[in-house]
Amino acid sequence: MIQFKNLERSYKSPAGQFWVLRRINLEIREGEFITVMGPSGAGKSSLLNVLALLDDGWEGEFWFRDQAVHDMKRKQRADLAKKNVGMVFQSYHLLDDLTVKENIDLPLSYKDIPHKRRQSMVADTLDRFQIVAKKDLFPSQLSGGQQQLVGVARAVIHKPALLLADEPTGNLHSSQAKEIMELFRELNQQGTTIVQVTHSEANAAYGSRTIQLRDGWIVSDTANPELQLHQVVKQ
Amino acid sequence: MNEGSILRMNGLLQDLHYASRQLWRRPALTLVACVTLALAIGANAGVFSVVNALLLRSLPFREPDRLAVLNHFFPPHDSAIAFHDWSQHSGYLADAALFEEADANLGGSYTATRIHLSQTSWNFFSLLGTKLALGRAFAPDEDVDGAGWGPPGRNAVAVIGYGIWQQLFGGDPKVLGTTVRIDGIPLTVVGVAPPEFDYPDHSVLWKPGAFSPGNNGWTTIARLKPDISWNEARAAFAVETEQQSPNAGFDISNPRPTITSLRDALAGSSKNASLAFMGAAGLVLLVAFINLASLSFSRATERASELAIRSALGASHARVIRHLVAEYALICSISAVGGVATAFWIARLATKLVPPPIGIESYSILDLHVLAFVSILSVFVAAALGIVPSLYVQRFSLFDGRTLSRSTRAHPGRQVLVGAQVMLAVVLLSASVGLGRAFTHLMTIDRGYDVKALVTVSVSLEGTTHQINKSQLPYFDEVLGRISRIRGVRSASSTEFLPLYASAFVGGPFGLDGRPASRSSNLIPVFSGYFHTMGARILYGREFTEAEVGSGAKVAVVNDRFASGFGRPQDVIGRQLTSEGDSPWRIVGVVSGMEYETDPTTAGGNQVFVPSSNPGGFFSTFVARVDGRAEDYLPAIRDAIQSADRQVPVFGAKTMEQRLHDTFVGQEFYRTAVSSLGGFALLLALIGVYGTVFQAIVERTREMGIRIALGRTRLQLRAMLLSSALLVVLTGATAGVAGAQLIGHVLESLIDGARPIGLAASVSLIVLSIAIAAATVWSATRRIATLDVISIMRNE
Repeated sequence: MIQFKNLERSYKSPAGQFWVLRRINLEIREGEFITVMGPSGAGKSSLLNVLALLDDGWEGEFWFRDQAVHDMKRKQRADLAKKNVGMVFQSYHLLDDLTVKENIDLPLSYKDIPHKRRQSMVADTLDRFQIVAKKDLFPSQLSGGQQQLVGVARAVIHKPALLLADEPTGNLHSSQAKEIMELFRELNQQGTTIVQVTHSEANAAYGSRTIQLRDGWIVSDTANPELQLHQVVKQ
Repeated sequence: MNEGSILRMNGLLQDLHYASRQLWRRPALTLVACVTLALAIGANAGVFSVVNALLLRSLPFREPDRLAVLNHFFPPHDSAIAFHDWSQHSGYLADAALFEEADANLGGSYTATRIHLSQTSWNFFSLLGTKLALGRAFAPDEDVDGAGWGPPGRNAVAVIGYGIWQQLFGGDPKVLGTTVRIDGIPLTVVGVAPPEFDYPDHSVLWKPGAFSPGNNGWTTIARLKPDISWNEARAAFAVETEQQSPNAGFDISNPRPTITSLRDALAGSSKNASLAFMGAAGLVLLVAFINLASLSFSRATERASELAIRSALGASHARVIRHLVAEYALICSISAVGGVATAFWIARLATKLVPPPIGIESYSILDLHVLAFVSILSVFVAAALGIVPSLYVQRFSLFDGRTLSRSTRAHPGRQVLVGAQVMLAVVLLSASVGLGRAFTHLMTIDRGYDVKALVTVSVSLEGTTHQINKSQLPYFDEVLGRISRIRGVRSASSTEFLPLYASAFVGGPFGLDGRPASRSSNLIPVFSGYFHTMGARILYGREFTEAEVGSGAKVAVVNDRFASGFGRPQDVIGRQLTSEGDSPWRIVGVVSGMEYETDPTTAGGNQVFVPSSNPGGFFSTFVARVDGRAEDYLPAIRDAIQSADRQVPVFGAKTMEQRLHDTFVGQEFYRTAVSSLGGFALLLALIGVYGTVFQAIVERTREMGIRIALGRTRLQLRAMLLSSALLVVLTGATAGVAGAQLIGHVLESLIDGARPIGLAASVSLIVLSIAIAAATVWSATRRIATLDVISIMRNE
């Protein structure tokens, strides 16, 4: 589904060039549930930014379903992301001025979908996530777990092929976290490819593959034991 | 409508819906933004309605851009034939017409009234291309030769105004053929002018003119030949005037002839003033825009996270801009409605204080030009406020908050914006100070009489039995007696010319004992007790007695200006006031000042007063000194005059203070308008200063916390912010004072009486700006006193 070949990302600073991703070679297959782990500053969020097609400043090759993202213009990348990527954030990132229903409708409003069809999709999603009763409430009127539920509903309403989750349970109580992770598992079983970033071993356990990042390098990948050996030998 | 359009429309409505919700959740901010913009748009639209009426809207004449006024130029006009012969042989004019304006008594089977009318050459209406509402215009042989208004004859016909037709004749078509009396002369109505036609100068009746040698009261209007350009016409006109008066020396008393478009002539000095005000209103809009721009940058920064979420969820850059624009589109829409209301009020005020030269040029807000102006202004402001900040919204990662933009351009400095605001506010304030001082000087200048507690009412005996029977004096004695008997009236008198109405004065080269004065003098016939009633100071001698007025004695009172031209003023008492061709008057008194001129540049003229022997010929004005408020006596005095003879038109019942105010109402309007704009701009600038300091504190909270933790006192921090803000204000104010000198000179050339401000006023303005700004900044820094350092450091 996704292939990175020698992908790198750096930022220029007064102190010189600062690398956040180094020579990333990675293949993500359809239906995988990948967990990305690593300490702060390892490059996890940078990797998600690249996967989400939010960041254009990287170098190397990026293939998405055999399409050369590295050759695409910004608008083409945005269109690709709009169709295929959903995102869930640690701090939910719901819009405070919109109701639950309107937040969920937001990704659809940026697609050329007729109003009635959008209404129907939103209704189905509210029903599926069992939040119909909350549809007219504003985010500030919801608990953290409920807000993240809305965040996930918003991320998947347009049925993305790839769901990116950044510490999706970081701000939640453990019981609420479990509910969200069960939801991810269900989505994955229904065919959605998921990449989550987490520090939680419990959450990582829901995934089928774990990648470890350090200082911008992939230092281990459970799907590629040789990589780990290579790194060990290198160190 | 196709599906794509419906989707776009739905998206737009959704954006507006969300934007309205965001505005509703910030009511104070929304209110301030809307009121600010409404006042700024309203000021611009209001002034534009005047500019539109004077300069843009089509005149109600055929091909109005080909119509010209020939100023200070007298074509052959000793006879009708001579004039029309000149007109027909002109190389650059297709046609020309003459008119002369006057006030006269309109009488008939109804109560006599005073009206403004014009006598014209027969082709007046055909030259303008005006089609009458009823009847016909004048025929080619109806303008005649004769003195004054001419003897009744072929020209004893009239076209009446639409208003008179409606008011006096109830719009009856049978008005044609009926008779109206102008100063007692019967005229047959042959036509009715179209609605709102009142050219020239609000005339309500037109009659064919009478040509006589030496009458230089005519104004010449003309239509250019179709194949002649304005430049060609000007060149041909210059040649003609040179031929007419070779080597003429032109000065104030003998101005150079010019040919101007009728539109420019109608706009007159209002054209320059309205354009100057358009500039001032534009500056205010700029100040308001800067404030809102500052606000929109803050909002864009505040909304950066929201916009990043929207982008992450699929919103294109154009859609993000639309989100930002939607908010300002709503603010601008609300403001535009408020602006139209403000503009309506401004236009009404302008109509009252500086009325348009012809009725059709009303300062209408409901005009296509004005509404288009408001719409374009609003759309431009909304687009600019929405689009520009979006260029500076940095893209940042929702995953870690890192900035992702390739370009990390900084926000344009808010301090520069605030400095610009202060500069513009000071420019406007200094202009208002300049205008205000000129106006105050006009209103407080010692004219030699006391305007307070003085009632004035005019009458005209033209065409009345009093004039026909030469019994004007008994009528005036009777009226003065009636006025004097009113309780509270201390004294009463009459004059043929009232101060402040200098344009119609007669006078000449008077002298003392045959020695001519260095300048001409106004000749003002008055009744006994005039100076006492006016509150004038008789410096030497006395004023006229009743007996002198009644007998037409050859005595005179001169003002000190005249008298001092011949040595010590007191020495003129008893000597001869002389004028060539007249028997001399014996000077019995010297009065202080008695300023009759309105223009300060021509003030200080010589005045000569003589007993009134033929009052009311043109018109005369009764004056009465009263106890208490002059306004309270107006009805009683007017009624007393009317009760003497209801066939005598009574008009102009005003207090002297009202007349003074009316004379300088234009200047007062300009002063008030510029002061209001300046004050508004200053308020906006202060809001800008406050907002900038407040925002700086919000953005630098962490820095403040660290500084306090490291030992800086809160007072020192407030002083630090104060000094940096005041540096911006000082820079802006200094630049503003420099700009004010420039604007002052521009205003001086555009508006009568305006002057650039001097050094002392400039320094005062800078000090004032800094003092007000200091109080504002100090107020904005109160937040520092309540900063919870521990919480700040913990959160960071």
